[in-house]
Amino acid sequence: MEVWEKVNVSDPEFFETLHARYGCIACHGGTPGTDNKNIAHEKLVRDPSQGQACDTCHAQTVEIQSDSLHADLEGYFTVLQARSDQAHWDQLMVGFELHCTECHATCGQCHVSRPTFLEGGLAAGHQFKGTPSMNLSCTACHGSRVEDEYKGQNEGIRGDVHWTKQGMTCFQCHTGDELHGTMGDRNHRYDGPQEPSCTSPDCHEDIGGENDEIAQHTDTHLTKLSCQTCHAQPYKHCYSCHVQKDEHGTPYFKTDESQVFVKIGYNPRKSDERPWEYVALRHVPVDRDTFAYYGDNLLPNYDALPTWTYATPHSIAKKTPQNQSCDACHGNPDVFLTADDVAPDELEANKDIIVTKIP
Amino acid sequence: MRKYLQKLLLSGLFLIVGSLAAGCIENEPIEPVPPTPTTVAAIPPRYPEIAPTPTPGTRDFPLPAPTLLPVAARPSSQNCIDCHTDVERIKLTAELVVEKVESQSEGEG
Repeated sequence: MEVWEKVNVSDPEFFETLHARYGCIACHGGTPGTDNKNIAHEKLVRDPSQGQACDTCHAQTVEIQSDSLHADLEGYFTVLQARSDQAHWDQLMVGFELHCTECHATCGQCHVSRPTFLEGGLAAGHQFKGTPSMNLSCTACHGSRVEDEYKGQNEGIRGDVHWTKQGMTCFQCHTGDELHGTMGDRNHRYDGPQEPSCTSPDCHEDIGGENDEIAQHTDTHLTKLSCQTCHAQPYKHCYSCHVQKDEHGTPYFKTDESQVFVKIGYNPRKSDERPWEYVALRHVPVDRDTFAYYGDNLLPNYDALPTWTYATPHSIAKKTPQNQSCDACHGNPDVFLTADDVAPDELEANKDIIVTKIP
Repeated sequence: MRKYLQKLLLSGLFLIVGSLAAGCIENEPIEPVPPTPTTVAAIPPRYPEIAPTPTPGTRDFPLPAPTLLPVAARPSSQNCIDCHTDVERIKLTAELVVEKVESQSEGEG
């Protein structure tokens, strides 16, 4: 997107909307009454979102949203705190600030412009979108894994049935309440009840009920396995992320080649809300030396959390390689995470979720 | 037939005599009982000290938008609009992209 395109208020209908009534300066600041660009842009607020403009009218949403995972990035801090310690924290945050904070989303970056991760720019001529654009907002950030899986962009793998058959957008499952954090302040996206849940009203609420005709939906399967364990098609695993800066000081990262397959393991997040014994696991890109450029041993408690993590892949299908037949799963070491699948350096971190006896 | 008629008349006679005799017996007087006490709430209901807010009368919808400042005091944004809606003008005044450094990132983020 060209620089001028990013600031082109191209939709004349915007000026007929409620938001436009306030005038540009009410939200963006700047200096009125001048044709001089530099003077006009003095004290300009490029992204006036929460705390400055939005909460004037949307006070409740803004207050709650500031604690949401999209706004406070608490999910990152939760796992980094577990893997690091107080002595290394400040140095770790130097790398974090440079490489990870682009994931922070303000109100405007979903409802008005493209996210910073895409270098910003008005998404629809400054129109405020109550429901953000799936392609410009959600999958702009959640692209490598979620979008590729959901839209069938991993070679040889069909898209998620919710997309291919129903054309469902992100927001039909992930509600504004979930995304704004209205349903509770979470430290991690898998904290608390399942949001969304496959068995929510008007979704698959009859699973396991009288009218469920799927023979494999037995009590044993339904209580021991998360839905994705059987219904996720192969999904993406990432490895060995390392961050650093180039000679110009520009931050960059390198990851090893991604791989696409299914791995089932013991549930690392077993709770009342997620009681299953077996779940789909995804290898996340973290590495013992991910932040080594910024200091030695910045993740001294690296083994505190597994690197194969609880996953809810967006590659759902009725028929998957692991549910084709009984033997496709039972006794099949290819679909279970065994010690052979885990890098020697990660055995300790994953010792509790490696399947020792294949069911 | 005559025999049955006699029995019937005799039964009727006994019935009339019996009824008259019953009417002469004095009824037992009904003793008045003390009234049942009315149940009293342990905590008397509290009446609102402040009268409820009356329902507003007819209002003209749509309501006016809330304003940050009175319209007259609001700074004009006309210069901003003039520039940011004029494609040729923003093309001319937009900052040139200064040698964008190619990211060295590799792999999927």
